[in-house]
Amino acid sequence: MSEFGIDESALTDLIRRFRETFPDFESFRSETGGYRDGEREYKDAFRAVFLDVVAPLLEADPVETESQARGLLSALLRALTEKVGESGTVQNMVSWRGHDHLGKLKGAPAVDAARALQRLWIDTGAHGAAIEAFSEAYSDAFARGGQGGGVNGIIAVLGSLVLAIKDPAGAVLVRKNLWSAVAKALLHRIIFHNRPIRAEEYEEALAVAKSVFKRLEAEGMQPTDLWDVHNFLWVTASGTYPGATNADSAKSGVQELFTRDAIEGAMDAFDAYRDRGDHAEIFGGFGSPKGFWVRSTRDREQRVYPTKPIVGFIQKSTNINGGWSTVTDAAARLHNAGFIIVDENDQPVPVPPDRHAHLMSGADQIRAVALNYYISPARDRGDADVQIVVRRIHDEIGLSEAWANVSQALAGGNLQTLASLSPPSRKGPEASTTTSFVYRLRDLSGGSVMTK
Amino acid sequence: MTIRIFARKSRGADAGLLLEPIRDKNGKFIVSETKFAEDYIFVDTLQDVVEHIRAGYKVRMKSPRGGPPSLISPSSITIESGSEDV
Repeated sequence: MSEFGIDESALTDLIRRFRETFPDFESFRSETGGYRDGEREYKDAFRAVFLDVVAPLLEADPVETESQARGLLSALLRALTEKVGESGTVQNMVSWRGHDHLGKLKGAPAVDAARALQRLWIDTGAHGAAIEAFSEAYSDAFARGGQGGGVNGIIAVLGSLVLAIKDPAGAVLVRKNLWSAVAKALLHRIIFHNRPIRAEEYEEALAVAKSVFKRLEAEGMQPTDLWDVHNFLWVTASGTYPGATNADSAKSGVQELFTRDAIEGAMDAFDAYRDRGDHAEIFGGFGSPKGFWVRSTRDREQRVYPTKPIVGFIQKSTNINGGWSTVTDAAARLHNAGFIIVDENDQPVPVPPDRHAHLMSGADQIRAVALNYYISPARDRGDADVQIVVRRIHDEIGLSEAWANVSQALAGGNLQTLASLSPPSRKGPEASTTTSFVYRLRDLSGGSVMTK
Repeated sequence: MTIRIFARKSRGADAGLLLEPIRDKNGKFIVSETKFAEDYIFVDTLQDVVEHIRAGYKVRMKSPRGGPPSLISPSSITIESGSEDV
């Protein structure tokens, strides 16, 4: 944890995810590349339009008439909805729900809303206090203008956008749902409540953003201002950025860390912790394991390991959720890597039948287990071939009357592709519990049998 | 620590029907300020859901028997825990 209480290992994870999302990224200051084209260029263009068209009205004498108010609100609406920059992109920080009211407010509520925006723009005090005052005044104008409920998020993004345009290095845009994910990832708690934004909440988000800025600087990424921090967080932490490598994906990003070698290596490290206290900085951070253990693919004196410390060692974090309710939970990580989740007595824990589509199942699981528990260990030993008996692997996984599926998965071409094998020879009847498949791993000359 | 979060439907033919937080296709619970998807906050655990309920957020819930999900306000939600620290 840093001085602000930021989980630096979680931030490391976000940085890796950012670089994976933009493989051509060199620096936030680069004039070209995926980041510049996709995230920065249109925001700079939008800010230029805002400064050119809206800012003069915000700096003018205080609005007194509905006509003046409508002029300001309409100018803001146009800036928010017109295509800008070389890419011809409409800004997407404020949605239609956030700007629709700008065309509808009339009379005194329009005047009050315009004045609230003016006061926010010219305020020279702390940003937190300014946005809290804006939020209260704007909420009131919004309600009196008959613009409905659910406005806390709208007003937070509108007010923080104005501040971020005015002071790019010292203010940050706040989309409350993004910041919920950011705070959860980096602070392991939430910042913003469902209410008009408060000064202390904004100041805390600002402190986090500035801390992230410093870390990005230390990484040599050369952030320009807090817009780069916002973009960085949006790409990596929102979980919804198109094309981002996502920790929530079972097949990309963090999950790629969970190779058989990495998992077995973590088990070796855990043995060293039990024997000599090595790696206590990670393993010492976990309590007694409960329901979820993982079975090693190697012959070991003690073959089952608690899932959370193993995953924590690989992710270099002690902040790991147990179980497999979501794809980022410890047992889910290991299960989706083709390892068998068991209880402490090495009995397989069945995959829940519903609402767990994020867990590998069916033929995919059978193939992954066959590779991890049979084919790879046999290759490690230098065996010439390996035999897999349908009933045995079926029971080891903890399946129920799925022998035909097991037989089909073991005979099929997908396993041969996955494990670089030639077609197996079958022993025994077709699709029976006693069926077994023999895979050749070395040819008669001793060389490996590979199909690709 | 066991956490149970539930609500009861207050009106209509199904009044009294049990509602529980549901996971989306990515295994996440949904909490939100509004019914609009752009405001959805996706969280991993029931503990996260509790934290957001206490901060005033609504929760997407549904009957275990099926039917469409609803966004339920904190005032209608009951939180039960096996531990006093929740």
